[in-house]
Amino acid sequence: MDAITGADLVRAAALLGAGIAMGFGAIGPGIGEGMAASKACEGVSRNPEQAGLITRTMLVGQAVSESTGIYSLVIALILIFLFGGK
Amino acid sequence: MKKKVFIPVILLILLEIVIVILFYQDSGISIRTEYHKWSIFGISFHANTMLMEWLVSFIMLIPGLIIGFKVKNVLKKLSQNQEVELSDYIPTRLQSVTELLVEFFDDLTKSTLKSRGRKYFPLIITLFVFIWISNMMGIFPSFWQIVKTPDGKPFLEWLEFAEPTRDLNVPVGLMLIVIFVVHGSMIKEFGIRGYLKSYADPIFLLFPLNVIGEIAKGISLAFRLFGNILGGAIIIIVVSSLVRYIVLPPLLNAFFGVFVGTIQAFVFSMLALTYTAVALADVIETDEEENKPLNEEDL
Repeated sequence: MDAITGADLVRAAALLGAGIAMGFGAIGPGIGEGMAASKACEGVSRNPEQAGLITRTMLVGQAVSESTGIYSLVIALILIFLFGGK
Repeated sequence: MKKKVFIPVILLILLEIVIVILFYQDSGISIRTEYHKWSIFGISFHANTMLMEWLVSFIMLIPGLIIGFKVKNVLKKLSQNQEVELSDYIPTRLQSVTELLVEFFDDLTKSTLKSRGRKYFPLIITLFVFIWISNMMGIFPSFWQIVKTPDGKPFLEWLEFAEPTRDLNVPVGLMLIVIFVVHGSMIKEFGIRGYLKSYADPIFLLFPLNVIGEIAKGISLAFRLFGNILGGAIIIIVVSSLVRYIVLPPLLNAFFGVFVGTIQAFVFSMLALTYTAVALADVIETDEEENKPLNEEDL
């Protein structure tokens, strides 16, 4: 077995970092989107004729709160593709 | 609905199943990270992205041209007092769908931007349709990627039916258009003094915070689209190569391609609209108070 070089350490750290970034980054958007969806459900059940507007607003709000998750996805991809290769 | 509409869809689904089961071996996972480049005047272009963008623009043109010529024809007949047949008035299926889309976005821009809605309506609907058709491009399999040349490279390596929005340059370009329009209309409405003043909004100390806020807006707009589409594409490829006998790839494509693609296209255009509305909030409010009518000539 070859000795572990610095490049191997960098690769391991990059892949580990990608996993950690994605895992922690997904917590916030998950909670946030769930809250938005639950409130939208309440809104629709109280006010069914506004369902279209509420759904639209909910989708936009969820997309905005999702952006932190997307940032962590982009960072994970950068780590994998730039540093994680052989 | 007639049956002939379903035949190509079913064929496409069968084709995807066959391709994934036969060709997605464990070594077959590949997501493009390097692009074939065209160098024109010292600027390098991503060949595949450019071709896909041209294709999308061409697809966008077709309904507009067909319906435009039809309407023009009827108007010409009316102006020359010729007899207009009933069949000229009855909208075709394509026209009905297009009118639905146009009306939806017209209502949206009017309810958000009030009297100035019509001015920004073409930009918003073009953004939506362009991004939507771009995101739909990923569901067509590209056969020439599967056929390999003797040295192991894909036949026609640089041409792939990938979403142009998967390339970061396209969302960034669209984001620059939106930012240019938002800031340009602010300068046009409030003048350069008013525009600069809006950065020192509550107090002058918050100037850097406001600048960072503007930059973050643009970055999040571009990266949201890019990350969703690229992430979806990676998930489709990885999952369909891992569990290719259990989960059928059309299901993955239906969620990550069609559903997420539509939502993201809508979100991008809605956020562009919202940013414009926030930038022009003062003007829209004063218009409301003066009961300014909708400017129909803008269309």
